[in-house]
Amino acid sequence: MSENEQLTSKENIRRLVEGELPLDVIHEMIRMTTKDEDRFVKYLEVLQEKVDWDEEILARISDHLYVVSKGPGDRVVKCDCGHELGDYRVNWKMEALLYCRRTEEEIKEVFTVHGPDPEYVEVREFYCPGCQAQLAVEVVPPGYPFVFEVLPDIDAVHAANGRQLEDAAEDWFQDRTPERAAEWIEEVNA
Amino acid sequence: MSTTTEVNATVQESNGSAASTSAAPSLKGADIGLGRRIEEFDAALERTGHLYGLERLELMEEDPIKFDKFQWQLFAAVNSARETSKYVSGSPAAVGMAELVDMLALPEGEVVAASAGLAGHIGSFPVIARTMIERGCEDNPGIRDGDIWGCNDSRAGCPHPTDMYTYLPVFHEGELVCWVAGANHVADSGHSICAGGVSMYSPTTYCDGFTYGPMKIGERVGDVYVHHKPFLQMMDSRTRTGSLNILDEKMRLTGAVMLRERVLQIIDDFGVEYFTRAAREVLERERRAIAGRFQDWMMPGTYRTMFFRPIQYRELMASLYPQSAKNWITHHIHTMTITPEGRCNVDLSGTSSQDYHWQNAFEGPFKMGVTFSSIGFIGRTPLVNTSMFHVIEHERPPGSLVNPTREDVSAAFGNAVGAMHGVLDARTWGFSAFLRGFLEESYLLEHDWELFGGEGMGEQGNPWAIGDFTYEGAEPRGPSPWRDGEPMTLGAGNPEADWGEVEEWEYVEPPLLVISRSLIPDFCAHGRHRGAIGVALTQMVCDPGAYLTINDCGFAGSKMQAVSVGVCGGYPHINSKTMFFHDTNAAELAEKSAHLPADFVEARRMIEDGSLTVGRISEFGGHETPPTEVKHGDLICRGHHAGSAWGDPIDRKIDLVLNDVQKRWISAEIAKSIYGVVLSEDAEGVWHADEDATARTRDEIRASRKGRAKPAREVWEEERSWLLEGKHPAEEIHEMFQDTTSYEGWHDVFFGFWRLPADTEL
Ligand SMILES: [Zn+2]
Repeated sequence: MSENEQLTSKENIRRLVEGELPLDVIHEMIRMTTKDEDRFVKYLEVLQEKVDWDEEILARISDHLYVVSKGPGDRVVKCDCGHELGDYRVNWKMEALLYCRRTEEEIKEVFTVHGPDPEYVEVREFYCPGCQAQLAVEVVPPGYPFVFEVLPDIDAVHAANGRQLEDAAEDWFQDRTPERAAEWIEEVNA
Repeated sequence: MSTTTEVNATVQESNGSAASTSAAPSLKGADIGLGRRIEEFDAALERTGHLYGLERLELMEEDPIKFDKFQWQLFAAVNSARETSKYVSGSPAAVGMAELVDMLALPEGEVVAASAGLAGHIGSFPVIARTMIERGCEDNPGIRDGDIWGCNDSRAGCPHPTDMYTYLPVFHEGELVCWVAGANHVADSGHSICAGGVSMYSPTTYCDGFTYGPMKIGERVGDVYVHHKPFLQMMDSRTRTGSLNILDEKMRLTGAVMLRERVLQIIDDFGVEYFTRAAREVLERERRAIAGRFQDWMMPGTYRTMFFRPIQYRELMASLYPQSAKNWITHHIHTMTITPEGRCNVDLSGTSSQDYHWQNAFEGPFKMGVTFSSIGFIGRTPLVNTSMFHVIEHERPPGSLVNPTREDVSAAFGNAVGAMHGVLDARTWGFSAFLRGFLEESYLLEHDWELFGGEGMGEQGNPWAIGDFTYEGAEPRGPSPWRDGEPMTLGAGNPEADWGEVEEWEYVEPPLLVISRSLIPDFCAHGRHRGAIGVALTQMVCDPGAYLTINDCGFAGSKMQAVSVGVCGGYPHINSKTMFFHDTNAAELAEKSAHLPADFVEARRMIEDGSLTVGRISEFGGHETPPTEVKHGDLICRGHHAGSAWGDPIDRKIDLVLNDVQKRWISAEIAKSIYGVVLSEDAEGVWHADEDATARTRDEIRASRKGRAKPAREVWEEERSWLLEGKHPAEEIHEMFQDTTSYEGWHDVFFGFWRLPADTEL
């Protein structure tokens, strides 16, 4: 193994993910002039080994959340605890638990010392319904759409790593959140 | 003596159009065809996808050692110009903190190399060059070898009037081969309301202060470059810090002249053809490197980030500027798409409209501002250059505050808006690198500039003013997925993190005695990796003379968080705070050598226990502070730089929490309530963690989350009904929703998410 290969070995990537890699080694990685081409593949392997479910991880989208394949044509958001939050083209926050801090007292609990003004904003905390991990925090005016933080182009990132996903199709890279909202309206009306 | 009509006729003729007769008097200078060159540059890029159409980097490939020599000579030229010229200045920001930049640009305005220092200025220079074409500068007054040009006008490309540019065309055997420029942030540019060039109270452009150019401000006589005296006299009379500004003007010219001489030597050594071709190759190579980083390090996809920013003018402007006497909440949004080919397209649809407030960012200010974050993250290179603008494209809707179309709106602080937008870009890139597995490259770069201005009349009747850069010089580094944010670590505006010396600031701000520069416990965004602990700057006012006012502003001067979305469950950047404690007993405490408060938290505590007495307190929401009068013995307490966190706080390693408490950065109470970590202190003052109790406490936190949260769908239904009923907590929010949904892209996102009927009146 070359020096760079050792530096970016799968074991080092695992330690980087776990927060166990010493700072000087990370600095060496930052100084590398070219990166390891198979990083994404190693990264997904490391992440796959961390979870105790079997669906293949196609991408990571947060500390706790992954897009996984549940078979051809079925890609969903899954928490590392195993809880699933639906089609990844729909903002997963629609399927999460949500707590809104709307008073000064509620906001002070988390913005210690100095917080935002409840006249203008609420603090939205999104939790996993399975493990209650805090998955996202938004500080926005009430009535603001839930922020769709990332819609990954999953077919493209795998293609860039030399792999054509068997269910690759153009409509994977589309925001389907409005369609889900429309379903909710229909369910209310029905 | 001419009549007005005759004068006009002469002006028209001297525009030098092809149709004018040969006998017409003309100011046309050298025939450099700048407009044509810029058109060709754009066309070649469009046609080939390469800068200057360079599909091959021939010089670099054929003789890499020669090429390397060449590029390091450019590097040395710009940096030695900066390092030497700064000593000509008298302002602490320039001399002590080296807040200046020297740049080398090709004729089209593309910057090939910029020194360390305020390298963000590269974003402006191409806009200035293009403005010179639009305004016909080549025909009148003409561009000639030996000219000194100057500019600080935001509409012409400059970041804000306090950033002044001095630049020279460099000719070789009659041909324009490049521009050399010096730029710096001066102490004051004569804004009518806010001293110190940090103009967050700016109702119209007619308050913007001393703005000029692009125009000729001097010329070479023999071997000597000489400023036009009337220009220096105007600078002296129309700004509050005339003598410092004139020294800065001479500093910029010195840097530019040094750089010109060095460039001409390089051209002699390498030949002019090599110079031009190799400089172009540098730019194209850098463009490829940046595109490669997007392509290789980042997760292709679409990302959304935003911030909101209140503007509170209603009461303050009511009597003098009725057009501006209102409150706004502005919305600033980036929908960024990183393509598999390595492009980064940022759609700003949904960003609020231009108006009679400070947040109008013309093209140059916007680009300069975003560049601060780009250089540190995606554009890093010793040869700071403009190639990134041909990889990253911001689509700025006309009429929005990031692309103003009106003549009368203020252009006094557009670079601040640009800088805040740059933070949205860089945070997204940091997150995107994390998703792709390049965790070592992943961190939240938050260009956390914070500044204050002041003006006064000293005891001897001497007017003075200041723009203070202390906070700007030493910003926090944001957290990574693998480490915490860290205070006073970098200057996105200036790569050498440096606060400047306390004594040096006190020398130019004699009534402002520094009581404390310190960390404020618990003043941080909490998360698996917490944000940097916020930093206090506390000053006591001593013998201010006839009067003294202070105005504060900065990145996090919001009531709504400097960024709206935390990363992976961490909390976003904490609002900054400035508090003025008036009519205090601080001066008496100082005379007795008694304790003075280190920060606003301690000041409040001392007020409660009676050791600090206070007549009145001024606070302005976040900390955007209109000029506020201070008197002898008043305390000014600032708390800034509490950056964003990463991840769920209860995922934080126990050891890290223990260390925070041991260092007294985090209190044991917060360690338990936010992080779920139970600690106890032994007789020696050493803290220990109770792992079992911690596991139980974290379970309790999970249970309480479950207990208080609802399915998101219920909140969706609730807030949707508010929108349908027109129920909003504040009028400004109502107006912001109406305004921003008038932009097509954001309209579709907003109405699509809430499934609102098309005729819903927000
Ligand atoms: Zn979970």
